[in-house]
Amino acid sequence: MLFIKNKKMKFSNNKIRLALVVFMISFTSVNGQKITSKVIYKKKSSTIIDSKKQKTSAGIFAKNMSRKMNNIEYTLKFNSKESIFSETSKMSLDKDNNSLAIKLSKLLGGGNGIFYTNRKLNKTYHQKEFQSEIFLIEQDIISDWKLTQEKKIIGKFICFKATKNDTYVGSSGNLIAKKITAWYTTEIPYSYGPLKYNGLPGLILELENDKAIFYATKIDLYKKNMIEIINKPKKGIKITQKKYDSIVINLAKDFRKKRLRN
Amino acid sequence: MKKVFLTLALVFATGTMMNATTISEDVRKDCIGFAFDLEEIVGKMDYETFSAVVDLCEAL
Repeated sequence: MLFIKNKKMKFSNNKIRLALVVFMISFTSVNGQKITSKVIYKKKSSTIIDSKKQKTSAGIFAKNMSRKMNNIEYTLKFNSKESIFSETSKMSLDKDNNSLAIKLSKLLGGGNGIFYTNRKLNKTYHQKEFQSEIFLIEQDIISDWKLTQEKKIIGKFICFKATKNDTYVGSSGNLIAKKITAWYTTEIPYSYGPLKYNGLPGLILELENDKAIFYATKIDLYKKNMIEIINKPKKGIKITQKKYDSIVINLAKDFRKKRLRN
Repeated sequence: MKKVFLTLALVFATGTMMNATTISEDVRKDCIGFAFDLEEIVGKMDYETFSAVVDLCEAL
């Protein structure tokens, strides 16, 4: 009799254990989508001001702008499915937020707006304001990186160098080529990075374009208290990068025509 | 001696203020010209940044 009772108890104990395991697995997987890692990046100017131009009005302004750029902070939040990158500078920076130098230091080298990447959709969305309109610019995750064996240590991570060619619409309305250099680590195997740059075999800890360098200053990986939902930006005119570029090209050409007329 | 230091400090401060005023006056005079001057220093800007330089400068 006692043996039967013990057997029954064992059976119910096993049931409880199984239920607990199932509960734990489902709880972890639901929350797994929400647990985020966080990387803080700072931006610095990559421009070397010519000594002859340092004392001109534009030179003094550019120097001031470079100084302001050092105070700008960006945050990349990510999990296995998606990431979001945006400016998260501390309030102290906004004391004289109206200053021309601060506003331009935010624009120069990129970083304006919100960048959202979804690996399942293979897309990156860049929400930004331009000409009093909000745009939601869509593009595919980048796949044309040139990977190299060149490496360096950033923090405690071994990073590899990757490069790619990109373009932007210049002030005259022509497409200008720029080289992008990324330093990524496979020790953090998530294919995200600053701005719209992603698609590498690991997290980008440093990114350089022709105007600025984004570099990681703090990396927080998976902590229980870092449960956050990454929200895809929804507001804005949905448009592909190609169409958006053609709008900007036309605006730049119009601007040039008007300027030449004057 | 103190007077000399005070005078020097005043001259320096006035110079700095005048310099700052000169920059903003230069900028206000010709915002498109300023944007092009800035381009010569930082390299070719994208149109969005270039137009922002002009717009923000004109709004000064």
